[in-house]
Amino acid sequence: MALEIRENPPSGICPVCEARVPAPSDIEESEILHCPDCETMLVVDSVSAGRIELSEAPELEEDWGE
Amino acid sequence: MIKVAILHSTLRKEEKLISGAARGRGIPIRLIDIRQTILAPGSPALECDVALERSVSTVKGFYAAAAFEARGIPVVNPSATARICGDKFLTSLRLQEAGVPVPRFLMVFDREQARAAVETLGGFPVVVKPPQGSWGRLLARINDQDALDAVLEHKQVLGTPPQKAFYIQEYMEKPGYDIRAFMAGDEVLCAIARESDHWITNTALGGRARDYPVDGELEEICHRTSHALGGGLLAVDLFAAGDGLLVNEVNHTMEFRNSEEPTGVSISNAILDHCLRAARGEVL
Repeated sequence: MALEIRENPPSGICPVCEARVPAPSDIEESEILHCPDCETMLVVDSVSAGRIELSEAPELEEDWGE
Repeated sequence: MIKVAILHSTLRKEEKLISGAARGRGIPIRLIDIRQTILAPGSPALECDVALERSVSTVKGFYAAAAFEARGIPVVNPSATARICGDKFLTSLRLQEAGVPVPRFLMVFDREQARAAVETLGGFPVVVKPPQGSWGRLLARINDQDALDAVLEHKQVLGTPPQKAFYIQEYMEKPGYDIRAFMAGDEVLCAIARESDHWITNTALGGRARDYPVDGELEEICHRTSHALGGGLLAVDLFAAGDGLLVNEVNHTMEFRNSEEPTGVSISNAILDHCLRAARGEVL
């Protein structure tokens, strides 16, 4: 029987409420995630070995857009 | 192999679509967070063959583009294009000068002048917009004098300096949608209709995108718009008025996450193709 090895998806800890925040496997630095518990907008500071470091995302500024 | 740098701040879905498409094609890419970059002339951190400016911050993106251009690196879109497209008044002036149909517009800096200006636009309603801004934010449809006075007083007291330049546009009654055409150089890649019950149809505010056919009239006005603004990767926002199309505004770091699926067009790959052409010196 073949042994299937599954990697856990990357995740981090919400800096506001300390909930576990899951992330897609292709998560990158500077991406925005939402905490599933407190719904704070978070930004990915770093990605390493399946662990992401998170901080509160910068607030929307006047010159943001397309 | 041409190396593409994607200059970014907060990473949006669009930047991920573009970088994913590049990796799928084996195009070497480098994601450069300009907030973490020292934009000094001659810095080795700025090495690449072409830079795609995709900062969500218009101000930061403009300066980053200028820094790369100073190193002789082609930037898509160039800072000159960003300077015009990032300002609604400058865009309208440039388009009108080029004979591109646009809604009537003007700018005033004083509430009394605004009162007189409304008359020149044919009376109420009018739309007051910040000259710099996106995502449908801070747009005000002004239906009467009381509203005009209140909105402009708020801008004068609470606003930043750009907010105190009152860009006023005639209000265009829309048939339940407006149009966005995506351009890469001379090519109109595709177009969407943005449908909404609200007069502001931005998808950022809930507007729904559906495919819109690119016909001769749309192509012609888009070509003239692109030529007036120096070409590049542009999202042209248009109104379908009674007697033809009018260009409302033009976006130089276009968002397209809701547009690839309804149109069936890979805007991400078209962006990469344009960047490669820019690296080879094949675009102006």
